[in-house]
Amino acid sequence: MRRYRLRDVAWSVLVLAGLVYMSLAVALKPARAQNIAGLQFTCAADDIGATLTRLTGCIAPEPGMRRYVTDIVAQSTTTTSGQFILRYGTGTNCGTGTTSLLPSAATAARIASPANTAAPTVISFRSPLVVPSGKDLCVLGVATNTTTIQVSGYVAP
Amino acid sequence: MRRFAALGIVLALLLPATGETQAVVGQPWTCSVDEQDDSTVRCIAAPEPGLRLYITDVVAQSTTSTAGLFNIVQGTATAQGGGADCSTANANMWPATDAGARYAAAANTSAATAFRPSSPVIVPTGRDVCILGDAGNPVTVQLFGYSAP
Repeated sequence: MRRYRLRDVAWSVLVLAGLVYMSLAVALKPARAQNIAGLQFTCAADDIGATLTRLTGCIAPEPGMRRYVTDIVAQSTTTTSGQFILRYGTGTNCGTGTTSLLPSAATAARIASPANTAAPTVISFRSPLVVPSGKDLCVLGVATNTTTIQVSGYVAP
Repeated sequence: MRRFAALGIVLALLLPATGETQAVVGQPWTCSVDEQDDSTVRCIAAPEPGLRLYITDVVAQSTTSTAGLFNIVQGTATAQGGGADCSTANANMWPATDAGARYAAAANTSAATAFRPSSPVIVPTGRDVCILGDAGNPVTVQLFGYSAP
């Protein structure tokens, strides 16, 4: 009888320890956007001038899935800075239904691609940029001081 | 008893990993203003009553080769209480000073200004979020976040 009670107490202690561990792990873990809930992807485009161009590999994922952009790294290909804007759409190089994504209020290239003698623009999002379902992701740069850009994230519903 | 206990332990060990995938709580949103001068313009309206806006990311850039300045402002607009573009109960929120625009939107020749506060900036309930820019060097700003209680 006494041995049975001790076993119960031991199990109860184990369960309690597990629950405490779970609570602490959840409570102490900061909310982070970079936890990848879906399939990871990365796309790039190089030497992008003043022509809207689809990032290689960034065609729309399968129906019902969306691209979540968590990281962007951009640099000018010259010693003078350029600028870029991310846009999405369908058709050849996002030519149909073209909509701005970053910055979403602009239509011209706004975000700097620093000179290739300076540190690149590096943006990591806590709340990812969401490319709507069925849309390709494209980039528009500026002439002469063209942009090389890498975009990373995950695909999820 | 033993089976329940074992189940409890397994759940306890699994749940933290599940919780890790929770990126943000609530409905995500993003808003943007472009070529913003030293007037205040609304970026996003207050969510429905009982919810607040939480700002998790800020990306800003001057639209010129000289840095501009900006500030994130909160206030109410026509739909909530008279005035427009945070002109009612207007208050600088980030930075929360009484001064004008303070944060640099990097020149469009330099890496973009990108904030990613570890603790989201909390907008009081019922308040819109606006951007105050710079007259000489207008800014483009994009905010990201989520709405939750």
